[in-house]
Amino acid sequence: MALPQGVNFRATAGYVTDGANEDYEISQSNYPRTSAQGNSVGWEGSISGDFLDRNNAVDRRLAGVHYIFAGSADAGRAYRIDLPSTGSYNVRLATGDEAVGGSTAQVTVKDGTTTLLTINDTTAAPGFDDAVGARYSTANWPGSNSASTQTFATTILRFHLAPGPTTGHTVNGLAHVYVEAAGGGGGGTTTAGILLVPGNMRGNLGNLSGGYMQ
Amino acid sequence: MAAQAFDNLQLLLQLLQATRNLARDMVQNANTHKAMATAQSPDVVTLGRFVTDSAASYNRILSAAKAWVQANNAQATAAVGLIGATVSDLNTYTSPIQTAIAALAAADLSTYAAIISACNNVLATVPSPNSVFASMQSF
Repeated sequence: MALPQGVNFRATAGYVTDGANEDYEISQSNYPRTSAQGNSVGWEGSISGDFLDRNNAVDRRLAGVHYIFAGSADAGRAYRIDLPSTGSYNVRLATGDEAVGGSTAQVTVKDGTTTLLTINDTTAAPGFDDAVGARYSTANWPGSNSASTQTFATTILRFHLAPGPTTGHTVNGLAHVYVEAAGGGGGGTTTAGILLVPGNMRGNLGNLSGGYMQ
Repeated sequence: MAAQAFDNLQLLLQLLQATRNLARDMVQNANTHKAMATAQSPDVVTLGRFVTDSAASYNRILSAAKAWVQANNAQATAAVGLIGATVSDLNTYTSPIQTAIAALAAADLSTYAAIISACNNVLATVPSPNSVFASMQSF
């Protein structure tokens, strides 16, 4: 496994050009998929969302979005990245939507099944929240977003995307996720151990021989 | 009975992920790595690590599927039987994938030219699945 691993969500593979440490995601319910960086990644859970290309004139990481419908009866779905080992990692994300103000920014980052971070922003305007719950415009997110350093007791990183509230919103969107070993660089700022509380309180917180036959 | 049928369908879909979709991902990544090597970015050591780690990931996925089938042969037979296939058909389908993974894991990745050669071997060995949505490259 080779970290860093970034994943950009969109509808069309060639819509933008990804960075060397990034892959794109345009599929559904596809864990385990091997990324171009050699990591096991993919969506777990039911098919309830979709992908969109938004704007290829903006930063490649924000050009598209995977969304889940607000108020969906589905419990949501998780994007999984398998880590090489337990330990400390810097996590980044962009949740929201470049073009639609009706998107919430609600993502839970988990260590296996244990919640580490909750981003819960229901601001009804275009823009993205980062991994510490700070909201930025599409133009400002690339240079200003912060990573959150988290300690993982398992080797499973999940970004859980839940259906948001229906009032004033239509979707809950995720544009970009990223993970690297703590101390691995990656630009921007890093905030250790922040835990955001739910609510509209943004920022508060093998063996290959042989075949299948026996 | 109905519950078992749905369970078998889910198992079939998971086997699909470890076979047909694995082949799709291998072809897609080989094309990506080849393009990176042609563009000479990232540096050859980093790109070589991408390829090595990809081979290890393919191995994990295929090995997990194989281990499950070997431990649950009756249910695997019922699952692939939903599409009129047999476990032997699984062996036939995965044989070139298995060969390509082993070759990729052992390949010389010390130069961009060597990486392109390793990618070409994957593209020549692994079946490229057809898709209704090929233009979207999503299935």
